[in-house]
Amino acid sequence: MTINLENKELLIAMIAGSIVFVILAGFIIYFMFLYRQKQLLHANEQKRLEAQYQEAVMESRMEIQTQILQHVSSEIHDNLGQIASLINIHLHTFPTPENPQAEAKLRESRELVQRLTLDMRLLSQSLNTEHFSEKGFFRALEEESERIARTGIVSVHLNLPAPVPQLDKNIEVFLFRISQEILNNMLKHAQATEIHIDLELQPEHLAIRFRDNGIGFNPNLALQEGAARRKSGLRNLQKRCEWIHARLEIESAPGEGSRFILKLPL
Amino acid sequence: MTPDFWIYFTILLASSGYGIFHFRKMPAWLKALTLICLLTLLNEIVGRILAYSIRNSSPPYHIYVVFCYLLQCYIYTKIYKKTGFIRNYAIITAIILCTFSLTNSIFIQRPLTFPSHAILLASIFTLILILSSFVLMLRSPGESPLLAEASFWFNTANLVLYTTSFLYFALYNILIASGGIPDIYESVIAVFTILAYTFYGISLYLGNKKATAHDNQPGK
Repeated sequence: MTINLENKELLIAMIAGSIVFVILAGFIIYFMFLYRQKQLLHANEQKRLEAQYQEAVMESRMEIQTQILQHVSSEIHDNLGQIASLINIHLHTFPTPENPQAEAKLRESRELVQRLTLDMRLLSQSLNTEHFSEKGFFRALEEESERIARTGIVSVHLNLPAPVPQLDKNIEVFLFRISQEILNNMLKHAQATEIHIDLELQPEHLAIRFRDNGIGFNPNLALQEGAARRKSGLRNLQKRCEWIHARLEIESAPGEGSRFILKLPL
Repeated sequence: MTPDFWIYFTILLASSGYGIFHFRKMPAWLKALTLICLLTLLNEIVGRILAYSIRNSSPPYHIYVVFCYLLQCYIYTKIYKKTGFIRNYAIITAIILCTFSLTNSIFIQRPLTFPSHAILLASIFTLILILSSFVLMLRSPGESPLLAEASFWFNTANLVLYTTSFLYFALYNILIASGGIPDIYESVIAVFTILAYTFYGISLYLGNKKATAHDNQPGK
């Protein structure tokens, strides 16, 4: 069979066929383009929902943590604090023994109880979020530094910027809890004798640098070990920083102390 | 037999062979797709035998068009299980096509006549299914790239194949009236048919790969 191009109907059929096939190819290409766009939209929507979910989880965690800390703080203040005060009163009403050794022990016990009462009051305050909200992050950090220094294990040097920036109350709570965690880690694991806390106000962010002269550690190894045990203080710290859109850099090596640099965008 | 027929036949054989080889572990819709390939292969073989023996290859097409459409409906209802429209549409059009095809084969285009009316109707019904399927794909896009989706290749194969059939039979009378179907037209149709069955093969391969990967996931 041959093509009779003079045949008008045949020509129309051929042109119509070609047009349809061009449309077909165009349709598939356009569909692929549309599908890609939809995929991106869908992925963005999923990311948004994931972020929303994480935020809700974070809020409820914070709420639970605040309630627990509040409860512990009240227990320390109202219960343990009262018992310590009562012991203190009893010790003060105790007749001074004639034996010098017993008298020294009694004096020492009175001092210890007074120190216990003070430490418990400070600990109760540092756990109490309401109390913390009244003071703000910078004052609370000062008090926390004083409390740690009072333990006599390390000396704490705090360097605050002047003037201190105004931060969101929720972010201040997070910052304080992160700072507490870093300082507690330094106290528990670093075997340091000195801790330096430097706060620096930059045009774009607030930088908080924690530095100790302790035994140091390998941050990558600590993160890996923590991930393997599905429990990591460092990973939790990083997560908490992510929640407030802050960045945490950990610099340390065995024998070289450790540095935690937290950068909070302003 | 022309070289393009042999290419088409080889691809059809390869797609069917791949489907049969992995038949047991394939999801239901891919099994149905394998059956479509096998049915087409059988139809081609029987058609050629009849063409040599009675000089007419039309009789198997009367059965092929109906079974092929039923399998297409089955595939779409399996892919879009949760879409009521596809299920209802498939049931209604399958009943219409079966009734029409039977009537057509008995009264209008008898077994020795090519069932172009039934094929045209099946093409229209399938094209609507295909376009609906594309819309549904856009409504809920998957995470993997489109070119890695077996259902996309299946749909594209169907779009190419059924648009070709639709055009072929819609323009059939015009072409015949103007002195027969031109070679170039036959060649274009052959190329698109080869393309469609290649896409079926790709769909079988991707679908099977995905099913195997799913089965090999820990905890499965």
